[in-house]
Amino acid sequence: MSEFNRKQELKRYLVWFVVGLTFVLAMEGTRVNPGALFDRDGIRNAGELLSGLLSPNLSPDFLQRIFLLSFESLFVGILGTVFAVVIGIGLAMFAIRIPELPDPPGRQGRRQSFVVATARTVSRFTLGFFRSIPEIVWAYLFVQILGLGPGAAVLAIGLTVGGSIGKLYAELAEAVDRQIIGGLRAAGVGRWGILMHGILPQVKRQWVAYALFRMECNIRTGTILGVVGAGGLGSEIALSIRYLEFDKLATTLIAVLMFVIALEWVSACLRRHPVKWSLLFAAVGGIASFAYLDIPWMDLLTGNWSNLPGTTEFDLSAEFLGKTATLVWQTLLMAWIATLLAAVFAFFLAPLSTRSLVTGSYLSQTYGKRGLSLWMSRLLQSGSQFFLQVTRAMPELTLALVFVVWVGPGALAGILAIAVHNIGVLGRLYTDVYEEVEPGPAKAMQASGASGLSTWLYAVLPQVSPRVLAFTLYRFEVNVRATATVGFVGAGGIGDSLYTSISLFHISDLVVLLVVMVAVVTLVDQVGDRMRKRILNGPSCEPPLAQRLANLFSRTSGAPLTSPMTSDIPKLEVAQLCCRCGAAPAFSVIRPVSLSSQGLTFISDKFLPTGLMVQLVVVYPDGKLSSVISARACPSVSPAHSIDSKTIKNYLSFIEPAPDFLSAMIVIAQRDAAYFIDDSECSTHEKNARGNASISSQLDSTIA
Amino acid sequence: MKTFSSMCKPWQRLIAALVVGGTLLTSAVSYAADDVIRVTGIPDENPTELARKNQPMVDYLEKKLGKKVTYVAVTDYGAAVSALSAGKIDFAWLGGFTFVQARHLAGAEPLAMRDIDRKFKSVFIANTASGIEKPEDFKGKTFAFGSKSSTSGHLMPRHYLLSLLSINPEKDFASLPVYSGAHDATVKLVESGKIQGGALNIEVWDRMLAEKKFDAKKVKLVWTSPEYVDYVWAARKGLTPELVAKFKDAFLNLDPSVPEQKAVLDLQGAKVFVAANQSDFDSIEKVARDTGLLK
Repeated sequence: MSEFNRKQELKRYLVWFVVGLTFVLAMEGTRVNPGALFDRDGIRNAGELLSGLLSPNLSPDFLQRIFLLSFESLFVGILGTVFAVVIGIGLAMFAIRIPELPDPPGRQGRRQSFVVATARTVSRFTLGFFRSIPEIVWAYLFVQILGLGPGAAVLAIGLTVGGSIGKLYAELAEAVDRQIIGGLRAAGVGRWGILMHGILPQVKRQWVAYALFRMECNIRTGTILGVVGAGGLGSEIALSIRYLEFDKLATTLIAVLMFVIALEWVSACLRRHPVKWSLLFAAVGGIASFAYLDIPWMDLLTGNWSNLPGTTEFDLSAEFLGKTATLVWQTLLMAWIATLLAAVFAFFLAPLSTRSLVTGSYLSQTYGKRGLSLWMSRLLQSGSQFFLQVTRAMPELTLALVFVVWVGPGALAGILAIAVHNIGVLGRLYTDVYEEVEPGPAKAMQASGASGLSTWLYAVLPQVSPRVLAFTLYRFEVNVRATATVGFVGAGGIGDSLYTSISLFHISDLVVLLVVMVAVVTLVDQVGDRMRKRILNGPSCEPPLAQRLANLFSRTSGAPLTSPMTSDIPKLEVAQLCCRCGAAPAFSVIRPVSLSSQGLTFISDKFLPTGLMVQLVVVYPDGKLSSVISARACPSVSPAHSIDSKTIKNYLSFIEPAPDFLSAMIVIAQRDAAYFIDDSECSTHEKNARGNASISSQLDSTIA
Repeated sequence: MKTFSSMCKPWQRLIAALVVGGTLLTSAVSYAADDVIRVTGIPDENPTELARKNQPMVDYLEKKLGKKVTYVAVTDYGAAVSALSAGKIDFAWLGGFTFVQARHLAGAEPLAMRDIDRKFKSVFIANTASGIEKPEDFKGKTFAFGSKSSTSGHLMPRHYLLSLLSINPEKDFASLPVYSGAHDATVKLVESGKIQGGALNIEVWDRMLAEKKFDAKKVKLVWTSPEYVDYVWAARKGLTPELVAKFKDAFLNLDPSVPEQKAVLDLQGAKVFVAANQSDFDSIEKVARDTGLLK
């Protein structure tokens, strides 16, 4: 047994080592010099930036200008979101896969299902295509049709964000309660009926919440599209940096920050109220934007499409393709470094801004902190919340412009920009995850007086590490796209070449670069999707590939598996008891011995150290979880080292009084000589049931 | 939970909103006036500076053409070119290279240029602390061009670096060259010491020098390039010949003895405007193709 543990431990260290190694290799690969942040020039540039930022330009003329431009950016964001939602819902309606009944009556003709499947594939591809081309490229293309001004920005946001909204809407719609859909299906309701009456009522709140979150991001995006002549605050930011006028930059950044925070407040309000208020807001905002932004919409219809530069010959020389491949590789490396950097910072900042860990508690009734210690923790919490808020509110492109001034153009500026922005985003995601953990173990620890730090380390982290990992991976996918965008302002990666080909009208290069980018982004998304599913659902139950092959060839059924679990635990049809504990490895064989209202004695293959927090969970065969009882390992009444090395008697004392059904469960378990199952199986049940749905709703809350 | 009872209402509302929005859209389109002449210029300098230079010219053009003239400010060279070729702009003040792009993309027509534009030059400047004395010293230093699409700030300096000084900008500088975005921004970058050397338009350099826009102790002139053809007023394809002729004449007939017209000339940095021909730009086009900037 101990050898098994050591192996696992070794594997864990090895994984961390490999991750660290990829970081170092990626740094080497992009040839960035982080010293540029703090060498002589770096410090001087930072000083200039800081002194400028500390004395914002408050002349009335400039303030008025910024005020008007802020409104333009605001309206661009709102109208862009309305467009995005219309596009997203329109395509998502076709992209949603509606589950069949377990025994379909065969009502649907083959042709009809073929049409539905084709529509789904086409709309999924369209969503992916819209999503993988950065807003700024769309904006540049629409400038050709709509001319200079906010129209291009509105449409660009509509398409790119529409693509990602549509994908997420479809995912949310597929994670709804299947029983309702099954009922409608069985009653013979058609696809549209199911969509309107089965799915929509279930997801509309999530959809609206996500649209509101995206609106904040879109307004931030609206502030940067000005860089390509699409109006808004972006041109002001770009100009103030071009002329090293940091006082003006400060005013503009403060304006961005102020209305992003104001909007967050508005959208928080809207999310608390019924959906109709959000629709009213969208309608009023959309109409106001139409009226305010003077956009020549008719140009979209009146054949200006021929203005789009075309080309017939494509430069597919080995040299150019090689250069493109290098750029793609560099972009991936930059995104990887930035994600890792951000994850490290966010990992340590997030617990500080988690209310339940710092100022509050997972317990509903507690004395809590008082006096100086309360104020200290409030300071800590609001400080880190403020930091995360500010970094999240700053668009990558703006940060990239700032870092280009600080460390000079190149990959480093891009990496830093994306890393800093993602500290805020990941920090927020992690915080949300920490707040929503299953409170059992955390309650148990806090009830026995554990500090925030140890609660985080031993009760929260072990539960959430798959989700933390999944979010980090998700952000990596987003960052690949973002890295392409920051290149537009000289921060390295493929964006730099995109910008060159756009501004010098090298259309064939542009087409090649875009095709490669769409392919890479799609690939990264696909791989990321699979990995995230794998992480969230735990390791698959099938034996490893080598084992399966060996079985296949040797044709012997009795080949012992490496894991003791799969072979010696019988599959139960009755409800199961599941025991999982904080940071300790899962234990595999558990058998109850005796039960009182204070505690439970059981036999296990592991010795539980005194004080270890444990959770007992009842799992029903359909994967539903019953309530959780928290317990703490105590010194066993009888000598701990009993019968043999495989069966050790442990005693758990309940933190809260044990409910009656637990004793009933134990009776069943003893009568049927059943075993408890270990953690990994238990969490697979649970995560299969709600993993995908919950990650979608998590994602919707904090994607920028 | 009353999700089921109120299920349909929001969607009816959404449809209503779309209908209202659509009506607004069409009404907004119907009053878009077509009688406005839209002009722009490449943003080779700070927009506030450009606005100052252009206001007297806009007034003068309105008087001459008898139509409303609006000056559309852009922040990117490429945006000016694509707006002209997309017909979003009627006349544009372009650089040599941007004009060649516009001609290549959408058949733009050259109208008038300043006397100085036929023998335009670029200057190569350096920070005094960089130790750059002669043009060959730029090798191994950091270097800034203006915008990627600039003639005097990028194309011609790149051409001369390659042909006369045998410096390959992608290989022989300390790092890849920086694109500041505009001529005065290049001076600011070199003055700040963030970049050691740079190239820009001689006209902007002379004016900044005269107006003491930078610290002369920190930036010095290293080399002045040979002459070439640069800026020009260009018309988009598809305008009526009368309008184009009127616009061209308005510039060719600028009279220095009339105070308002002298103001226009002074602000443009010209003594007189002369007619421009397509063939004036053939040499620029050749250079642009040779350096690989025009494909």
